Amino acid sequence: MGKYVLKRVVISLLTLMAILFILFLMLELMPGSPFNDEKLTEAQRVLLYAKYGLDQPFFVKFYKYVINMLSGDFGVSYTINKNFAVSGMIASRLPITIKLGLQAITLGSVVGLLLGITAAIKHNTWIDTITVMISTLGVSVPSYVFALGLAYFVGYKLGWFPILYNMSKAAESSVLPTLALSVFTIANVARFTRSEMIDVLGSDYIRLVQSKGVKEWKLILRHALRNALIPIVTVIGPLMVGLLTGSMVVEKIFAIPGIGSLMVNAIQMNDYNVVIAIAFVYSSLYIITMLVVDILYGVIDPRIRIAKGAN
Amino acid sequence: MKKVRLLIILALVLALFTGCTTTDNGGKDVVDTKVVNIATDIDLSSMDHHIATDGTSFIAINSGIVGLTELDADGNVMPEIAESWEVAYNDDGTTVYTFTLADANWSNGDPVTAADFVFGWQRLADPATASEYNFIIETIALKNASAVVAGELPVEELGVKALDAKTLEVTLDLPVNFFLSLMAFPTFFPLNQEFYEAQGDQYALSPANLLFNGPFVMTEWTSGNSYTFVKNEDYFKAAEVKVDGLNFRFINDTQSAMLEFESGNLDYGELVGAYQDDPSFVQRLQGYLWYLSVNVADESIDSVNLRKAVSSVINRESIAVNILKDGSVAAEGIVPKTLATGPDGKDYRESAPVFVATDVEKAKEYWEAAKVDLGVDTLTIEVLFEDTEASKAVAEFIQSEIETNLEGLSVTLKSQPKKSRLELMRAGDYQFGLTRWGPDYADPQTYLDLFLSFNNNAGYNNPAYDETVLEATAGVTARDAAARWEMLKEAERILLEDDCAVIPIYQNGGALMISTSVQGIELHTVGIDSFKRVTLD
Repeated sequence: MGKYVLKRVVISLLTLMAILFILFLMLELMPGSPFNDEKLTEAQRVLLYAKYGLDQPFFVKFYKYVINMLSGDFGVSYTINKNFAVSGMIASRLPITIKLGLQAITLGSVVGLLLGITAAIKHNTWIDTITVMISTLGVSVPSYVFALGLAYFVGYKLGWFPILYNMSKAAESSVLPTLALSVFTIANVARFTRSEMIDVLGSDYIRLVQSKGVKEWKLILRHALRNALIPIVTVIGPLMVGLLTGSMVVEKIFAIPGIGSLMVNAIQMNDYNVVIAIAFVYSSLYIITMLVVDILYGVIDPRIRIAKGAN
Repeated sequence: MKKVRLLIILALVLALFTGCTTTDNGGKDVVDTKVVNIATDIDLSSMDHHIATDGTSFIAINSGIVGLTELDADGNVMPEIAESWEVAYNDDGTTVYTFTLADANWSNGDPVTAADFVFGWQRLADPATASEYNFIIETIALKNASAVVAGELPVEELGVKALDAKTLEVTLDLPVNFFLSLMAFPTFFPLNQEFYEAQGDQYALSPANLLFNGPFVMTEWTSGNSYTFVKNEDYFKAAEVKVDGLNFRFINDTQSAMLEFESGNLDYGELVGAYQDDPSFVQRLQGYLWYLSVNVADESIDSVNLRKAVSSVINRESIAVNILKDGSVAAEGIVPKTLATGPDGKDYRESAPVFVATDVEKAKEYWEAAKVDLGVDTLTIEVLFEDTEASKAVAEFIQSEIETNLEGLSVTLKSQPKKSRLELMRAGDYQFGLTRWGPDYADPQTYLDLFLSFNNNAGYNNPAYDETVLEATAGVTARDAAARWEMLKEAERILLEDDCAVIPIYQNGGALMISTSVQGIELHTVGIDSFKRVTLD
């Protein structure tokens, strides 16, 4: 197991380097520049390019960036918050995005699981139909529609929760964005749980357990759910990363100072260092999540664990 | 059973939320303090007045720091740190301003001195600062500014001297008519050298790394979220400040901002006007003038008749009234309305002729002549524009006007993000480019200078135009305000009537929501909007 994890970590690091290189190359080829306001003269541009080292050859820039990055220096922002350290900007915003993401994924998984299980047990009843409807809606309607709807009805009309994120009332003001973000997770988890549970509940070994007279809740939790969880864990991994990227729009709507809204801003304003750093953070998160999911497989399904141990 | 589950979910959710509660700053909801809540759709980019380039940053800086002069609600120059001044016109053509400074203090207790202005301007001009706004020190024709900015002279050679702690002497190479109004612009604000040097590369990156001498001091700044000012009790004109603070909130999404405004949590915001009947709805005319820049260096379209055909066929009124619907007005020339008041006391546009107007019949004649000029029967031109809703709508309208009325002339549209559009135009890689210019100071020259042969990327070069503009800037005429005014109109005539080198389209309007309980926000076509004298019921 240890060897397997180590191998995966090394591959992950190499993947990250490759991603960074491609990002750099893409920004190099992108038209536009952070410094081309109407008012800038050619002489000023030369000065600014020199000041921020943008006039240097591609590989020199990349080499310097990687060296600085290893010491935690992601450069400075060119346009959004001029001369702010990008590492500082991300450090203050990433916890907000991650916190919202975790709240949404927890809420989403719990509600999704309960919905899915209920639907599977009450297969082919009206409860099942409603669950399927909810999950279809949740998957197909983009999260910003829910976000706008919640902002309008719950935030503005009912006035139950603040519309905009407020640093001094973080808990209260994170309710609406969490709900908006969790809808997609609820729908996906409910869908997967339902179909897996229906499968498992129909299998022979469950019938065997049933015939032994095991209590219903024990049967579901200990025997059925455990087997149904494997494919569900697979979807939760990507869903979590999906939440981070999906949060771009939701963060914009609720004015949340997270990295999603920062990314959108940075792309619009050609703030190279911010774009690279956030894309790098997203990639890292994705790779780490996939790593964790792979390891979790082993924990949940002994067959995988044993097979890997044999390697 | 289901109810129990529901309870469990609720409990879980609650536990999650309360478990994640972060530090509570508290005290923000005190009801009896008068705080104006302002929405901005752009994050605060910089509090460093030599580095900032955008309106949002300038408004914030202007709330905390003041300069030699300020503008009143109508844009007239008023004394600020400079309580009085004298002007001397020398025989060698230079103009010398001598300012006497009031007893004002920085927020650390240091007095604001003439040396602070000298140091500030030196830093602005210093090539090492790489200020994107350092051109403005050349605009006021400060002695030796161009050489210092180019790195040819040391910053000490700038024409700005501290005669003593409270006397500042500024030497200009020309009698610059708009000099005093520019002294209210943040780029010219003072800087306390000792404090600045103590901050190192952290200067202006947080409220603690800043000094203030104006109506408010900044107390909080959370990047991407909000920034807060409270009244500066030590401001030397503190009696003029009627509110306890300003709270700026960065809201990128217009719909959420509107909901927040409707909920009563905002007092001011630049919001799109779907609420025209609302008593809070205010329309303003902005200084931005949008025009079609024509790349005359491109020989395949270099015909004055072609440019005139395009200019005459566009119904500018319709663009302003039917397409933009935001208070924009049709352009009458390259100099916008409410920009500059002449020696006759009238707005420039009031006394200047209307140089661009719609006339479809004439456009057709011009197009016939253009075909002969260019030796073609049909022609396809390309219009470059940026990918905003407004620009797209205007470009599409121009396309349809041309293609409907001028047979054989077709238009392809090329949409680019703004930064890329600017890059293409800078490189001369375009035919017709929909672009804009915002004024730097209250004088027609801020527009007319753009088209001097050595200033434009469009290849426009008419010695007669250069001569006229330069005479109004630096020649004998520059000292005679009335004659200079006529000369500026003549320059505009050459540009638009003789050469039709650019095609002015419209002057930008803007929609605002201002809470009815708020008074005294000063909106300026040129210069920075001010919250200094704002009041709240």
